[in-house]
This record gives sequence, structure tokens and C-alpha cells, in this order.
Amino acid sequence: MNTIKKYLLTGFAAIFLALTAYGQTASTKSDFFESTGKIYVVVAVIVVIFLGILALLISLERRLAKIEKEEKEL
Amino acid sequence: MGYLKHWWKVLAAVLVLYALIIGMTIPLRNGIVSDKSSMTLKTGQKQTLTVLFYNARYKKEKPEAITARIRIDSAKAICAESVTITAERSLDLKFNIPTIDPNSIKAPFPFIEIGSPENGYVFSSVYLSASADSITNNETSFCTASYLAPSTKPSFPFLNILEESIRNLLYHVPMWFGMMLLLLISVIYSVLQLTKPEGLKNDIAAKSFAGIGVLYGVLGIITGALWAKHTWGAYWSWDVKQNTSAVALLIYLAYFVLRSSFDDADKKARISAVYNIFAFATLIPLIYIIPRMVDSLHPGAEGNPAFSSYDLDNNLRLVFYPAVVGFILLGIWIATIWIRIEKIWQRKIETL
Repeated sequence: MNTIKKYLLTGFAAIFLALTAYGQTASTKSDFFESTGKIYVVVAVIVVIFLGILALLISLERRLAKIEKEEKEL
Repeated sequence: MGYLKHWWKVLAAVLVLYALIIGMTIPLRNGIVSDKSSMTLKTGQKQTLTVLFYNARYKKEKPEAITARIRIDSAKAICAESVTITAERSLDLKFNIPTIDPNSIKAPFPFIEIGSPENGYVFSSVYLSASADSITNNETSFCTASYLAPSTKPSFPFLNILEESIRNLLYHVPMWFGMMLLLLISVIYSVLQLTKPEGLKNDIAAKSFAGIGVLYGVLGIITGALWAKHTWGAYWSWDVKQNTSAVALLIYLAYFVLRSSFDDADKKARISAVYNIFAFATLIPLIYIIPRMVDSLHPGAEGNPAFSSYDLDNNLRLVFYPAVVGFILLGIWIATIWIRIEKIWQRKIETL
């Protein structure tokens, strides 16, 4: 469980750092997303789908970890 | 040879990868991005039209090879007197517009069409206005509109406002197709649970397929809102499809709330199976019937709830259908893993 928390924290930290770094380069959000033919809208959509599937995989892993833990205790 | 039974998982990975790689690398077709004011011409005048393009490479062309004309009707056109390549993505077209009545031209005319061997065929609306200035061209001579060949290179259509985000069709729409199929599988397991109430095998499968189906639906709503922000101007426009799909997802979220409120596993299996059938029955009018009855910002609102304006484009189709199959197989794959974990969990609870 602790390792997953660590992964999640690292993930959030990475997203936060990326967002702050990006906030300094682009003037406004919509300018960035609507530059170069709105290709970043597509990138954002793919990232959202990937993160959604990843979140489900993490929750499945946690369930499995719970079972493994009880297996050890028995 | 035990690996052979996993062929559909390999297929899922290959199709999703294909959709991501090919869907992102095929370029958009050449398109005209000039605004309305720069596409307005006065009748009876000699003038130069500066046209700006998207994804064009006119430096590769010879000016003589470029055909540019304004179509007046299905046979007649006003041809450009000269074409100058001013930049990779910009052309100066000299027109000598005859004195014609702009109101006599019926839609979809007039429009400008430009054809060349390297950059293919493009067209865009053009606006004619009657000139109050001195008339310099009293002739009414037209050229005939011969066929201009489209580019043979694979490309996706260029549509104003949508631009590159047309590629979202390959990722946002498969989420909804995937959701419908996974929820259909889920309701089939719920029916099986009611017909064969012994054991919780079917209940577990129904729950897992509903889970991944709802995840696809949530991803569909989020990606749709992102796409809407940059094409319709707002994350949520209270469009009929946005509303009905949000209601459908709330009904399905209640399914999971309902499940968590039971202690007795058999009672939970029976009641949640009944609720799942009810939820699927409301999903059909919410997704398929109501959106067809009301005006929508979504394309194809007039009858076909899918995407009738693009589904003629074969290049998009060649990526879209594999993407749909790939995401569905990926969902089934994750659901089977979920089912296996839940079954082990169930066995544990029973032995304790």
C-alpha cells in the first residue's frame, strides 16, 4: 500500500511541476491549446484516456495487494 | 502453444497502437484558412485575392500548374488571370470579375476552388458584393469548370474550427462505442445471474463489465468537454448529448452505490442485477432516442447520432473502426483481469 501511495505522490508532484513549468511558458491556457491547429486538444484527450485506464489499473493492483496481504497473514 | 489463446489481447494492443500512431501521423488535407473579409470580391472589378492555406506546400509547385477559379454554378466559373506563389502557404490570385448580380447565384455557389498536382484540391466559400465603384469589366466571360483531382496521399479532412482536433474522433467516439458494448455485456451477465441464481460468477462479471463501461463513459464525457472547450467555446454547453450521457452515467453510478449498501451477497447479486437491467433499459432512450429528437451541437443530429458528415471520409474510417475494436478489446481484457481478482476475493471470503 505504501509503495502505491509513493507512486501516486510522485505522479502528482510530476504533474504539479509540469503544470507550473508550463504556466510560465504559455501566456494563457486557450492560446496554447489552440496553437498549431489545436493539436494539443488531441494530446490532452489521449492523456486523459491514458490516465483514466491507469487509475483503474492502480485500483485493481491495490485490490490484488490486499488479497496477497491476507494470504501472508493466514 | 498456450499463448495462442491470448491472440485477442495482442490484437487489442496492436489496434490501439495503430490508432494512436497512424491517427496522429496522417497529415490533414490542404485547407483554406482566410477569413470572410479577405475572401470578399467586388463584381465588375480587377482585384487580387490573397488566400492563406493550412498544410500546403506551394513552393513545390509551378504557378502554371495551379488552377484557381470561382465557381458560379455547376458548369461555369471565373478563372484567375494569374497565380503568384507568395509563400509556402499563401497564394495571390488575380481575378477580373465580370458584372454579375451576386443575388442571382444560388447556394452552395459561389465558392473558390484551387487545384494543383502536389497540393491537391481545396475549396472554400467566397463572397461577391456588387461594386459601387466605376466598372472596369463589362464582359461576362466565364471559363468552364473542368475536373480537379484530389491529392492521392492519405490525409484527414481539414475543417475550419475543428482543424487538427478532428483526430479526437478516433479517441473520443470509441469511448462511447466501447461503453455501449461493455454495458451490453454487463446486462447479459445480469440476466444470466437472474436465470441461474446459484453462485456469484455472473454477478461478478456484470459488476466488472459495468465498471469498465462506466469508466469509458466518464472518459468520454471528460474528453468531450475538453474538445468542446476548444471548438464550441465551453466545457459544457448543455448540449442534448452531453446532458443525456451525464444522466445515464449518474444512473450507472447509482448501481455501484446500490451494490455497496448490501451485506448479504445473494440479495446484492439479485437486486443489483434487476437494477442493471433497468439502467440499461433507460440507457437506450437516453443515448439513442432523445438525441435524435432534439437539435444538437454534435454532428449528425439530424437522424444519425454518430458522425454522418465525416463517415464518408475513408481515411478517417480506416483508423476509426480499428480504434473502436481496439478499445473494446482492451476494455474486455481489463474486465477479465478484474473478474479474476474478484473471484479470488470471493473464494477467500467464503473460506473464512
